[in-house]
Amino acid sequence: MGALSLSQLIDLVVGGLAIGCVYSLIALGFAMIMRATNIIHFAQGEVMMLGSMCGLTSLWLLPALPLPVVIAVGMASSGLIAVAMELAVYRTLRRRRVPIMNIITATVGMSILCINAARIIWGSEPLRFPELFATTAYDFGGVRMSPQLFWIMVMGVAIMGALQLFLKHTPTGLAMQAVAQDHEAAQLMGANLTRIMAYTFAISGMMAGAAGIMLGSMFFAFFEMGFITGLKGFVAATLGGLGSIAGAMLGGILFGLIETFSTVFLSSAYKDGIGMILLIAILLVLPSGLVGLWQKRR
Amino acid sequence: MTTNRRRFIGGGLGAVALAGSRSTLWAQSREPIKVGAFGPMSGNAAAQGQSIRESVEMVANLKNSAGGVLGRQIEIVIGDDAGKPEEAAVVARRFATRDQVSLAIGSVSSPASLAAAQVFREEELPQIVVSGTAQRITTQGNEWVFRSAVPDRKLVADMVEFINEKMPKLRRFGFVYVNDDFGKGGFDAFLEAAEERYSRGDLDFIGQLTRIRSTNPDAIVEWSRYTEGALIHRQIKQMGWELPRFGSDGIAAPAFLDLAKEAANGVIYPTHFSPATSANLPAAQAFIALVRKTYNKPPDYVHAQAFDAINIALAAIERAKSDDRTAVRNAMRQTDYQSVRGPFKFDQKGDPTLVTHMVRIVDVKETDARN
Repeated sequence: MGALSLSQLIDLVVGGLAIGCVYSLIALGFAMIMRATNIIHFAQGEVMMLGSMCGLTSLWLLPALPLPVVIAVGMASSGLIAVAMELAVYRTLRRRRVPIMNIITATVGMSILCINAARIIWGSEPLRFPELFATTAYDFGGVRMSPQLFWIMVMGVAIMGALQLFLKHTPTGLAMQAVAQDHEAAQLMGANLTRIMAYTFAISGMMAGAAGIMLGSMFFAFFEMGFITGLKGFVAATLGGLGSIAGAMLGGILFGLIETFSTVFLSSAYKDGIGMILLIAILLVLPSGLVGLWQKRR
Repeated sequence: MTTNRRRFIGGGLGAVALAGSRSTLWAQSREPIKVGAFGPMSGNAAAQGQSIRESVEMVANLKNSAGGVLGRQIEIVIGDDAGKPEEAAVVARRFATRDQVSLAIGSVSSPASLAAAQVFREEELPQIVVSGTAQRITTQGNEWVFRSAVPDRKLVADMVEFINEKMPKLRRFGFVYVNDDFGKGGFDAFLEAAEERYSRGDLDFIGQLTRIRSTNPDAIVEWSRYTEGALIHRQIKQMGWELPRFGSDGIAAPAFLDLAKEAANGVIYPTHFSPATSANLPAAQAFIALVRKTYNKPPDYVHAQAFDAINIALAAIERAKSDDRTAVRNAMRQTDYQSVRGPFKFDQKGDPTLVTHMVRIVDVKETDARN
C-alpha cells in the first residue's frame, strides 16, 4: 500500500481512540466487579447492549432528546439492570456459598438470557440511531475530524475522569476502594458490604450503558452487539491487568488503537485474530498486564 | 424441527367430508396435486421463509378458487429448514417420501438449497431454488434442479457490463468484501481492484477503507450483506470521501436504506426485484398489486422469486397434463413465461435467462439505474 497521508493517519488515530474509549468503559466494569467480588462478569456486554436499546427507545418516544440526556438514560437503565442482576442472582448465590466458578457460569447464563430477552423485545434486525452529532466535519487548524468520533472521545474521557474523582474523593467511592482491597477489614471498619457491592454493580452498569449509547450511535444497536464487544472489553481489562482501574482505561484505549492499526498495517480480514495474538504476546512479556509496568518499579 | 402443514382444499372441511363420501375411484383422480415449499420458517432468516410461504400460498389459493390445475386442487406442504443444510435435507426427504409432493420450491440460502438438491436428485423430484444464488447449485450435473434467482456469477457479470457500458471511465476499483463464499464470488469478477476483506459481523471498516483510499481508485465496490454494507457506506461518507460507489445484491433490501439513510444516496447495486426497475413490466405491476391486496404490504425480492417459481411450476404441470415428477421436469424445460422480472426461460443448467436489474439510490429511494 502507499504511504498514509497525515489526515489519513489522524482519521485512524481518532477512530482507534473513539472505539478504544468504548472498550475502556466496558473494561472498567469488568475491573470494578472483579476487584469487589472476584467475579468475571460475562454479562457486561449485554448490560451495555440493554443500555443502548433503552437509550434508543427513549429517542423513539421523545425524538428531541439531547445527547447528554440519552446518555443519562442509557447509563441509568444499564445501572439498574446490573444492580437487579446482582441483587436477584449473584448476591443470592454468594449467600448460599456457591463456589465462585459457578457464579461466573451464572453470569454467562445471564448474558444469554439478556440476548434472548432483547431479541423478543427489540427484534433481531439492527436498529439505527438517529443522527446525534453534527454531520459536517470539524476543522481544527486544517485537521478534519468527525464530530461523532470527537465527542465520543471527549465524553469517554469525561466519564472516566468523573469516575476517578468519585472513587478518590467521596465516602462511598473510598468505601468501594476499601472493600476492593480487603473485604473483612473494610467490614470491620463499618462498610456495608451488601450495599457497596450493589454500588459497584450500579457504577459498572453505568459505564457499560454509556459505552452502549456511544457504540450504538457509531454503528447501530442490535441484540447480539454485546457479545463480541463485551469480549473485547474483557480482553482490554486483561490487557490492563485484571482488577486495575487505571489499567482497564489504558487497556481499552490501547486495544482500540492496536485493532485499528493492525487492520491498516497487517491484514484486514483477520483483524480480530491479530488483536488476540498481540494480547497474548503482551501478556507473555507483562504477565500482570500493563499495570505491571508501573507497579514493578515501585 | 417444526413442521407446518396447511391444506388448501376448496371449501375447507365441507369439501373434505364430501370427497370422503364419494366413490374411491372418483376421489383418487380428484386427489390434490401436492407441491412442497420450504425455507427458513424459523430462525434468523424467518422473514424470507415467510415470504416464500406467502407467495406460494397466495398463488395456490387463487388457482384453487378458479378450479385448480388439471381439474384438481393444489395442496401446499410447508417445510421449515431453519436455514440449516442438515434440516433442509430432512425436509427434502420427507417431501419425497411421506408427503409425496410432485415438485418442491425452496430454499432461501445456498447451502440449504444445495443440501436439499442432493436429496431431490436421489429421489428424482424436481426442485426450483428460490433465492440461493451460489453458482454451484446448478453446476453439479443435477437434472432435477432449477433456479428462480439470477445466480451470483451472472449477477456480477451483468453489473460489470453495466459499468463498462454506462461509466466506461471507471477503470480502477477498490473492492471491500466479506471474507466468505458470497464476498469472494463478487470479487472474482473484478480483476483490477485493490482488495480488502473483513469478517462477518465487523463494525469498524475505517482501516480497510483507509488502505483502499491510499491506492486512489476511481470507484469503490463493496460486497456485503446490508448490515455491514450500510456501515461501510456510512463510514465512507464520514471520511468525507466522494467517489462512485457500488454494492451487491446483499444490500438490496429495505433495511439497507433504513440503516444507511442519506449515506446510501448515489450507491448503485444489482437487485433481484425492485418495484423501481419494474415500472414497464405488466406482470410485475399485477404482482405488486396482488401482494398489496392480499398481505397489505409491498412485496420483497423473495416474494417475487417464489411467485415466479410457483407459477412456472403450475404451468409445467398443466403442460405435462400430469403430476408425474419426470413429466413435470421435462415440461419445466420448455418454460417460456412472462415473469415479474422479465421474459423467463431456463438455460441448459436450469438457471433463468433474466437480465439483472440495476438500482441507483436517489433521495434514499430506489430508482432504475438503467434509465
